[in-house]
Amino acid sequence: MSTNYHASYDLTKGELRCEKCGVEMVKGPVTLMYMGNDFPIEMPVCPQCGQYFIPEELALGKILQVERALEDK
Amino acid sequence: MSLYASDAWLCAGGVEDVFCILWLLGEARGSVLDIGCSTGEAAAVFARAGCEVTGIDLVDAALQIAKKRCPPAQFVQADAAALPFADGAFSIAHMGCMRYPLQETGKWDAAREELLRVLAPKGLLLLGDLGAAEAMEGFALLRERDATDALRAFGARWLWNNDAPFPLCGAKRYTLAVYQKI
Repeated sequence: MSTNYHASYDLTKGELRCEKCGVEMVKGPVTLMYMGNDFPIEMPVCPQCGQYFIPEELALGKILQVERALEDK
Repeated sequence: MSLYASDAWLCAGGVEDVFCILWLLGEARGSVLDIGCSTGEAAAVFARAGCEVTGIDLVDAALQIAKKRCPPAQFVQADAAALPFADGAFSIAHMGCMRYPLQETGKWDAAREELLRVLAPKGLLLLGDLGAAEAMEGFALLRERDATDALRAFGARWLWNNDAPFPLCGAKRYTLAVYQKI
């Protein structure tokens, strides 16, 4: 499981807060799914509403690479 | 360290998913030798299908994971070119993506001879590998099918878990083939 995407955010200092709940985000496991495949990762999550935060570097980096690999692009 | 002996395989699993293994197995059942069993994903499918399974691999760390994943199976650290089993010990053998590493290390012919030795008369060889199905001395090809989707999914998992593309992802085709010992 990749945990690289916490390097940008120091969750212990409350660097990320849920906009809806005003609560500090914590690290939590999530499974991303695409084309029938599962990709587990840990990402910042709001402990109150359960919304996850997907960092831009993840979305435009590894997630995009994996999408292209699955779509054979 | 050889790619095939590295820890990179521990979290990627094998190329073949459950559907691939079940297609390969078809109606056959019996004693299965899974060569290059890695962390035991294929072995677990064979065992759930009702087969008696023995898995071999060179990587001890992978075998330890396999033992926890599939307790009914036997897992042994062994070389495909020198199998520690009696003649005719298995009715079925499986190799997933093993031809390339065996050819690269010059062990393919020895591994094929060992397969012929440990397979019972008319035993089945279930093979999944890069590229098209090839003729194999001592075996008759019974059926084959394209499984390139499985290769793409494996490449995606490898990339996700290892932060680097799978080195053999230049291969654009993966084929499942069932052979029978002549």
